[in-house]
Amino acid sequence: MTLLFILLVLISQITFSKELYRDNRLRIELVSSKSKLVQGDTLLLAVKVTLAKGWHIYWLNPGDAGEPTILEIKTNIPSHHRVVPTYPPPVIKIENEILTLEYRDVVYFPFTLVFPKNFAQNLELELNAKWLVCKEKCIPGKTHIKKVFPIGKNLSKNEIDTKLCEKLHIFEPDTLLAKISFTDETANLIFETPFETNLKSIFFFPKNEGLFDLRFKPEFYLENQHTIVQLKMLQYIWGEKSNIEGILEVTTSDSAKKYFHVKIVN
Amino acid sequence: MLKFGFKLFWFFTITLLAFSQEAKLDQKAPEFTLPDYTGMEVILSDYSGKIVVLEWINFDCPYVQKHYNSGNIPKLQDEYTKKGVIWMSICSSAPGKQGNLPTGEIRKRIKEHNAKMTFYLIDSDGKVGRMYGAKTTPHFFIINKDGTLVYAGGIDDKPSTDAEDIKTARNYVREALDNLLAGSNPPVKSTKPYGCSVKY
Repeated sequence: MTLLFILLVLISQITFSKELYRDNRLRIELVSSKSKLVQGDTLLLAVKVTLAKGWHIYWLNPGDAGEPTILEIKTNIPSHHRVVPTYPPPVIKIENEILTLEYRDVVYFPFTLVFPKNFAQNLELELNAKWLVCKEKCIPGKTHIKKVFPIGKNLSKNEIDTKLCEKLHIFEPDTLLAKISFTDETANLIFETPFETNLKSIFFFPKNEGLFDLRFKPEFYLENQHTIVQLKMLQYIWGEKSNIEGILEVTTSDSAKKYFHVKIVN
Repeated sequence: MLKFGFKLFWFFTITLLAFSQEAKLDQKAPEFTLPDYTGMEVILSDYSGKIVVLEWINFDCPYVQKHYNSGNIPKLQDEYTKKGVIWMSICSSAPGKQGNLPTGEIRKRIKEHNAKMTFYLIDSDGKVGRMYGAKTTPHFFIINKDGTLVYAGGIDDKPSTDAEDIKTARNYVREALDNLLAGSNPPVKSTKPYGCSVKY
């Protein structure tokens, strides 16, 4: 009976001691900007995905083919029990008519946790991840990772990963609200705030699938102090024309890129 | 000579227009002619008056394998071809790419899966695939008896490679065909196609 009990404890340890996922195609792990957490502190963390050469996974809206990468995080902090990390803007790839929104090489999906002052235990994170990784063929995958970050009293400088902090802070978009109007073939995003003049380009990455044809660069212009961004609709529309949101990439005349999270309010 | 040149001009113009025509829902499905893997020439308009299913296929794609290894698509093919539906499986994989198989291998795979498509068509230059906007394998298009494109999208609502999902999935192709055979339109015209990208 004692032996059975010990065996069961060991098995449960094996199940939950998996701190990272690795195969020939990708590696998934939870990383932190600080090696330990301090009560009342704010911690910047991320899901880090490292892809082998030539392999890619997909954004929330994968495009014409593929499946979205799903990341669900649970914590033991009562006010942050479930967390959805930020998905950085993808790379658009068009190959032989097929347009996909992908991630390659190394991708960080950051999220921030604020610790209540009365939170005095180690931080326990659980990640459920599901993905489709492709090169010339596609292989679905999923994993469950658990990681513990210890609590401590004081943090020294060498316990802070400043390079990782810089990487995770790169994509922190402000939110812009917009309205949308549809015709059979186009949609207009209407921003009440006029954008700066002489912009090089604007691009919209919709999180919603089945609506917009991203092969076409949006037209944009000023009308009655509103900036209008015109998108082309897909050949076959299957998505819902509601709860639309996405990422707006604005390229200025000096080729700098700015990102905004866009939420449609009508 | 002039009359011949004139006729030749119109022949090329019409051919070009036929292939440059983009398929649209609720409009006449674009015409095409493709060879079956047996070598027989198949012309879409020869099946006017019939319900036609166009199924984009790649036997090496895990999503196609989900539906063929489980018997899901072969059963649909068997059931509906017996009801007079013409089922055209179309492979737009370019030479050298995944899914572009030699004739003997196609024959072997069809037999292995007990597949009952009416035709397995070869579109290795991708012209017909591009015309219909075929993006994934599988990707379905259904044409009603009067030649109108009435459905474009996935086979069902569970985009995975897990065959277990078939049992609880809403099968849009079955729904569309049942409605068309009963004389009404598919309840859903356009859904998300899912699968591997077509290997143009």
